Amino acid sequence: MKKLVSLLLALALMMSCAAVLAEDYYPAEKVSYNVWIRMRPMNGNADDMEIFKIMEEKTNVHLNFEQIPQADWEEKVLLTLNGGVDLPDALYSGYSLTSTQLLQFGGQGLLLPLNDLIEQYMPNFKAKLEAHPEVKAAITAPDGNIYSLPFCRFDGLTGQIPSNMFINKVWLDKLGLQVPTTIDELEAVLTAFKENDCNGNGDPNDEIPMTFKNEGSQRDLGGLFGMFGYADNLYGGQHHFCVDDGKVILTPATEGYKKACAYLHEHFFAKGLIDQEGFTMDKATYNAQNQGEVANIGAYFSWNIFDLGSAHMDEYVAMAPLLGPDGTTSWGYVTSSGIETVGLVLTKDCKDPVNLIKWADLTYDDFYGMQLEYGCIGTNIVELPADDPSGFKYDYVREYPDGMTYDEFLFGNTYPDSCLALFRDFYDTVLPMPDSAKAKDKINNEMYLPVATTKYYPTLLFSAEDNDRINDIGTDIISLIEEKRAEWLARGGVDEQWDEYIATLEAMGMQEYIDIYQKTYDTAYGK
Amino acid sequence: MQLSAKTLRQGKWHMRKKMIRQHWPLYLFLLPTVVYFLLFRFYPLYGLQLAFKNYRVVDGIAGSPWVGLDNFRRFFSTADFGKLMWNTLGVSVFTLIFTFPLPIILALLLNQLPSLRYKKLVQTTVYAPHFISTVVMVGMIFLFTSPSSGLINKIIEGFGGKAIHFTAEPGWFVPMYVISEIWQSTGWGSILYLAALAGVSPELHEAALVDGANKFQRVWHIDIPGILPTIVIMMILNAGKIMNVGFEKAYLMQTSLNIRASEIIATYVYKRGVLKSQISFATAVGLFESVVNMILVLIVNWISRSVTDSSLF
Repeated sequence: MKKLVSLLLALALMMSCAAVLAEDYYPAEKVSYNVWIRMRPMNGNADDMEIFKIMEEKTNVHLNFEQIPQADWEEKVLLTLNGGVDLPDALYSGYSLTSTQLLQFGGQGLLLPLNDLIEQYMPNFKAKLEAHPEVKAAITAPDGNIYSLPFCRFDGLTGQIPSNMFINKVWLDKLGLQVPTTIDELEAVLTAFKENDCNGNGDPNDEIPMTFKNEGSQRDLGGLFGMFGYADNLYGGQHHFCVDDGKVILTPATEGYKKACAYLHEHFFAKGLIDQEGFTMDKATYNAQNQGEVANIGAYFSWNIFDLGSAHMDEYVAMAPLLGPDGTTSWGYVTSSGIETVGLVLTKDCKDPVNLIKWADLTYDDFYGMQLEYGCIGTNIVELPADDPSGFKYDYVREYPDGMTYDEFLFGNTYPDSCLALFRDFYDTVLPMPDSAKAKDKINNEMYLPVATTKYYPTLLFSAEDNDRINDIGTDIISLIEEKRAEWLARGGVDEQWDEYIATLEAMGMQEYIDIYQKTYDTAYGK
Repeated sequence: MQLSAKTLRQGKWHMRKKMIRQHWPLYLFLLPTVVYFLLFRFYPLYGLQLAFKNYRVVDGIAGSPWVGLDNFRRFFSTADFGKLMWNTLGVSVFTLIFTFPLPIILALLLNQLPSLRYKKLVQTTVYAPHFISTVVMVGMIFLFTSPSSGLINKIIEGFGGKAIHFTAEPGWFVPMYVISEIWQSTGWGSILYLAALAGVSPELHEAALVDGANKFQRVWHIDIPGILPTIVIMMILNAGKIMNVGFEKAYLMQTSLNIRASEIIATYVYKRGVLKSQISFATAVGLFESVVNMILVLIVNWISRSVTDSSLF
């Protein structure tokens, strides 16, 4: 019986494959599309990337890339979309539009709704959506349209915990101190870091006790707010929102937030224990801080240990969330982690999208998705023998050309920001998680998830009117919140200014703003 | 015999045609400028209607629905309006006060130098910073003023002072902006005045020397009156730019800690219009800025016409 079922299954599978791979499925003559592709500084030339050649060979679809540097991307894309003329056929890259922008331009008819195309020409992607309804929920706009193909990667790196803390173990050992577990201990340790010549270069003043970067959620110190109530986050469209038992909360209007600002200022910023330059540094400066002869940083916030550069990486260990002054703590987590709504969008100027969509469907075939994300077989990954004891089919090449880091080796050869979808079962059976992701996964599971009780607002798509309202009132509200947050942490004054701040937020329409987020949350997850 | 008005008009037109034919090369020279203004200065005015509309890309500029003064009302009622006006005026007025007279003084001083070689050397040195791009300039500011490693703070600490986090203090935004502006623009600005000074007749100076005037008196009574029309014209033109603070520099110098002082109209327009795609709202704010500029030009022009007799129009 069992045999019969598997035989039938295999037969069904073959038939569906046969249907997909009919001779004339892909165009007989080469078809070209103009595609804007967002390039990181680390990326090699997209025109030379092997994976795109392999995919072109298979589909007969040629992508005519306009490679736009990450730094210019947003301005260029927004100006062009707002102009509404001379649009490329597609915008290609994870993070190429925020979900607010996606709805804004989708709702105005600048982006093609893809529902029918997915239904007809994307067998691979359709199968993924059926297996993972949460992905479908995340990319479907309230009007029922799907405007984007997502970039999903459930590898733990884009994991549930956006930010961890790391501390210099070598310095701790030298001073005979332990990894701190409470906020008081952290204060004592950082004070010792500040006063001693921990890195042993003869200068007791070049040690930066703790650093952060006031941008995004990965390097920010918002997690520390959790000791006083809810953790705070600067992440994308969910800025400062969390959900507690179904109730949407704007963290910066809570009492705990006020206490956190006052405490962190008094005990850390005023004493120079957390570096004020975190508010003004750009990313290049942040990354350069620890690249000298000796380590300069005592502790830092980051999404991954190697983020601050590999020079002194071995000196650091992860630090678990600390207990606050009254013995409680909380850290923030994301539920929709691993799903990036936008990986590829087609514009209204794409006259004949069918072949491009067929090409895109190939990225959701794990064989190609894997090579986009982790490099081509033979270059960045190797095929394992069928009976390999690890149980995996592929593994990483771990020897990089001279002087290259893993990221440089990877981003130089392939385009890991593509639309694709690699889920947990892929990492369990086909290719193991990257080493860095494994380490991060372990830290999260052991230290962070047990105390991660602040649920950051999930990625959701808003209705067109709500989106306009958010864009309108939210801009002022968020800029006031972030201006004051920086000011209170760095210079203090939260107690004196709090009442006026809340009154201003209310006058700006805070309640309406929260209500929109609450309503959308309720619609998506039920009351 | 009486000429009819018609004949007179025809005669005038005839004369004009003759003039154009005679001096056609001059008109040809004028052509690129006219084309430039039509293309880049007048044609974009068409888009100004967006300030009174609710722009939707698919409807286009002409097809978007009218909303009257809604966008302006929204801008005037935002909590930031007062702060934006104050910051913009603060940055520009201080920039004008400090950067306007300095090139004049520099030009007068350079003009007095007897050694031509030394004069050229100084001139080249002081206008070299003009060629540094804004991005690099702001990068330099951040490097020099860094509290942990910046040159300026090392000097302050060397004298026993306490390091100042310049880029984080709202109070330091305007001084840093103005000082770097002075450093970058003074030398370049003086070229114009040096040219004007070259036009002052040497006979006047010779006559003054004969009369026993000293250097200071010659500068005061001959050089300055000689270049006064240039100064006035420059003054009026600069007044038109008062609200028009260089966008890039302010934007790049913004940090989350000095934003209270560094958010100006131009950066606000960029954030709203480009980054948040609120095109109509940003157009309205930009139009408001231009109207204020226009009024300022008219006022300064009127003052200068009644006081000094020289004016733009």
